[in-house]
Amino acid sequence: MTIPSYNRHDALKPRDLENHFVGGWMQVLAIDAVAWGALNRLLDIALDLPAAERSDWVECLGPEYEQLKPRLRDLLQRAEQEGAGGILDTIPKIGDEFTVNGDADRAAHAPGDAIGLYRLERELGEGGMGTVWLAHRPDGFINRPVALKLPRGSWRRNALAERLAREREILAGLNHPHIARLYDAGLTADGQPYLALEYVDGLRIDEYCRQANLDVKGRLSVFLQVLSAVAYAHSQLVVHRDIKPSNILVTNDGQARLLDFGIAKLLEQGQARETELTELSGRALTPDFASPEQIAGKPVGAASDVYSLGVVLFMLVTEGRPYRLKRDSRASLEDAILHAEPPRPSEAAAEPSFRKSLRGDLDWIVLKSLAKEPEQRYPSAAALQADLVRYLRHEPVEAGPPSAAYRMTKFVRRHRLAVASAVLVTLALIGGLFGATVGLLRARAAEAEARTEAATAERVSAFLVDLFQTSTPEEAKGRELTAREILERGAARVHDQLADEPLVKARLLRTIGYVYTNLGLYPQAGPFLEEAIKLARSLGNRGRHELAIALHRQANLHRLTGDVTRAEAEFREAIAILESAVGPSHPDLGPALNSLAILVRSRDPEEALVIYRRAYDLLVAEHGEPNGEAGVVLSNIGSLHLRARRWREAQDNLEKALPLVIWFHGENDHRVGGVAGNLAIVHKELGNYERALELSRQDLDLSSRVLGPTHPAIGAIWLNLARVTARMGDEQEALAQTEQALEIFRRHLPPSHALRVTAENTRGLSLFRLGQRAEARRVWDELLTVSSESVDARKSLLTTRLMLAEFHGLSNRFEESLALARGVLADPLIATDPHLEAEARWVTACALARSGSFEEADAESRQALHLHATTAPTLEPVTLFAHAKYLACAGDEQRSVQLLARAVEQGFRDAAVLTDPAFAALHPRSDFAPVAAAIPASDRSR
Amino acid sequence: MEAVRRAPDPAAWDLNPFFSSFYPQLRSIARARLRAGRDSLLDTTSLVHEFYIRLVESGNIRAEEWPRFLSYASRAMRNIIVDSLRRRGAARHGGDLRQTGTNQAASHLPASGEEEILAVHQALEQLEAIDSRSAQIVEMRYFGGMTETEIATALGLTERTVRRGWQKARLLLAQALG
Repeated sequence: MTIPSYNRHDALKPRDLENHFVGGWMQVLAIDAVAWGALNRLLDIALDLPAAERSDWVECLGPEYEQLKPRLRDLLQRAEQEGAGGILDTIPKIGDEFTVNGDADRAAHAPGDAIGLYRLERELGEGGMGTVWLAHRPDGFINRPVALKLPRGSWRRNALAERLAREREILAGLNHPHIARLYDAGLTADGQPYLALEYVDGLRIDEYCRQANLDVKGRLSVFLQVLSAVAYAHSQLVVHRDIKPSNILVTNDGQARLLDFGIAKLLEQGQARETELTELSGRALTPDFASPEQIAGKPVGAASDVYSLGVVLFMLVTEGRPYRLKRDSRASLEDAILHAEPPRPSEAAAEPSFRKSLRGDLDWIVLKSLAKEPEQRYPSAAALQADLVRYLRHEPVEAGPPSAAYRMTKFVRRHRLAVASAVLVTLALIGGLFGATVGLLRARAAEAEARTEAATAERVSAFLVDLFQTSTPEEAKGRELTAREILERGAARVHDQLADEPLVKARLLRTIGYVYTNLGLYPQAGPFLEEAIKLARSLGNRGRHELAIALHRQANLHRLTGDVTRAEAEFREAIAILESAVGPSHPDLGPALNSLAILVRSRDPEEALVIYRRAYDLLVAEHGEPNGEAGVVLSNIGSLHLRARRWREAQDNLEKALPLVIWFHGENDHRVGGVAGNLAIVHKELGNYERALELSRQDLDLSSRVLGPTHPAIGAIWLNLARVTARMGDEQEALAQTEQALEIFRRHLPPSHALRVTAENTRGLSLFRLGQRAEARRVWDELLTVSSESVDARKSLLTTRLMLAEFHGLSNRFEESLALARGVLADPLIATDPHLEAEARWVTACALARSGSFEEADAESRQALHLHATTAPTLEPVTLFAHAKYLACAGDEQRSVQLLARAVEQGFRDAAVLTDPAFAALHPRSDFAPVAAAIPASDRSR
Repeated sequence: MEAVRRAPDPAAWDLNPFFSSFYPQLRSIARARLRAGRDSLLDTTSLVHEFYIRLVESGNIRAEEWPRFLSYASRAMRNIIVDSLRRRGAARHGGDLRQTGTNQAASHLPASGEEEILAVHQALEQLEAIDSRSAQIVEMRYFGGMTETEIATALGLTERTVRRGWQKARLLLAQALG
């Protein structure tokens, strides 16, 4: 049994429960925000418990929850009953006749109804566009029962009538033993369109094969009948477009019939446009058998039917589906159809005896039918049919293991869609090499050197292309190559093959290191860049250009991994070489300056600003204005202001940078995400949380598509999102978002990296605010053992100490609190950051006040206020907030509330006043109510 | 594509006025959703997807607007569904609106489905006042037919939070609706 931990709920103790269940307006939900907030939290805990332990847990809840218990019990009971889901899972069906305007609707058909010359007997089934009835003609004109197709309801009857008309036209031209015959079509007197088709009394093809217990050969022979029908249709220039088992019936005597040409289309010049499917005429494409081009809404041809036939064949021989989905949703199915490679049937087959006969040729035949690109499939059903017949006659088949070139295309396509960085980088790389050459040509016009450069670049690109094209035994086995494998293979070959071409070798080593860096695989990148630098250095003058670029790459890597001292030295060396040996217009120079400024900015913002300006001028001089790279620099200037908490300047530069960056790099560039993300921070600080949230989400969405969801930069975005969420009062979600960030950081960054420290800080704070004090303390205590060279990381670690100091102070451990805060004040870094210093002084003041040293405390608080005054011309809400926090800590509740009220008046909306335990004492005060009311409603549910 | 590449004013990212010009098409999707009902959560989603793909192809919308499109579409579908059910109910029950008397088919239908939808709508209005985020999750899931992944993307939440939020809100609503 689990004993509930009361400490965890202290912070959310419900108040005034008696008043929460008054009747009146609350007729449906019968709950208010406070009660729901408490219930919500209790549910979170209870639902995490095993079902069997929940009722005991409820009983153990304290008396303050007495009022909530019956309701909680009922909710938990429902949760248990519901199990797999069900209730409210989807909206109820409202019937076929639903119309928005409440038009008169046609009654549903019933047995015995007359439709034209036919009489209905029983309903056979329902399709996407109508019902199908078994019917007969009393006049005996057609001697057999027919399948009568009727559109459903009156909704868009015209469109459906058109469809029927098309089906009629198409079927009228098709006459094949394995295609269900069309007898008649027409319109009744009251406008009901109908279609009378051959009635096939049979089983779905897959059920038939199962019930008849057919072996692989038996199944193939039934399937060949279907192929002959589709091949015939193709020869008449008709594409079926909806081939699936439920449209293929097999009669008792083993005769297959293809049904439902309802969305078939006459081919015009080989392709049919898929527009009808999106015309909302009531028929959605069945995704399970749809081809990738149908999913993507592209024009479809006969090869699309080949794909659907491939899926049916796959199912017939394996008894399974080609795609195993993690989640059963249409989106994941579509994703699989577009991107996932199906397994080989021999591996997927449920029946062990089938596997052997599938292995080899049949595998390739099925997989060729299921190729993503139409041109890789059989061009028509006839071609598939021919290959299957060849297989049955033991002749060599056309299908075989995909070629290396084809696999490379697949690789590129898949990664372009999945993790864009991998291939973009790999491809950009080749372009980049030539780009550098052109830059150099322009810069120096030194023919000999230019020729060497061109030759080297050519040699390098030939090497890369070769890398992708050569096949290995693994490829023949049908396994996919990953970007990493390509790189690893490249690395091995660089050493084997290029010993006597040092310049080419250096460039390739640098390139491989660069790709690793861009993939976020930092530990792998290092050795390559180091070796490239060593090699370039050994070449003297001949290698200096390569040396500069390799140093630039290495510096970037070191910057990313937090080794800032080395990074700065390398940037400076690279810049020096570029300037002296190549000239100011080298394409690497602007970016290198930009990166250097990023490093310098935390230590010396003013120097950084100077460097940025230089980079900006260089870029504008080189490329004119407006200019995308310059836009990036502008955005960095904005973020410099952001770091200096000059929100308005930051906003100005960032708003200016954003359109420039979009303009030049396109909307799907990760830099756009970066600028949006920074702008989000500015808006968060200015109190525009909704805008901040919107920008952060945009950043997250865009950047994860470009960089892949586990790139370290994505972690930083989650972290920013967490902070906005926290400001809006949802610490639980903020915590979840922070943990998302940490999950990514832990994979790629050392514990001493500034981002990781910052994320841990944030996690501790959320835990603290959620009342999980022991966990919070553990997080912070652990950070105390971390050390770093990076200024950013060190500042973050100082922040850790301040958080911990505040925590100790609130827990009446004044000694610890004071020691930590004073330790921070003694750190040399504090002189560079007045905000951090002010923060440290506030915490010190609080500890002093609570231990009774009021005079000293006041002195500290005045210093803190003075520091705020030196950095901002006006009294900002943040300052008021910090001061109010100190007063609350010092026990001057009235003045604390007054200051908060002033902050709120100035637009301050940080939910910290509700979630931060430092303000807990203020909450019961009546003058606090207006402050609480200024925090948006959704945030108060907690 | 040229039009997209011009430097846009960030304020232009607010798309609601643009979206609203597609209200009629969304109305069709909402109807389809009601017709498909419990038989198929996925089919409606597919219609929304197809509609969206068509918008993208026609160059009227950018791919990254997908998340916002989803929340807009869900809200629109809720409005449409509730609005039409109310009219229908008024017509059938001889309410304030004029009684048409011709809606025979509707009277054959079990009313419980309609009642459920209207009750969920009413409960949602109250949930919005006390917990707007959960209300939005319910709206996107129940009225919009969106998947948890889509909801998470659109709202910038983790999938876990969406799943849990949906679970809790659903319990509360189930309790309220008896």
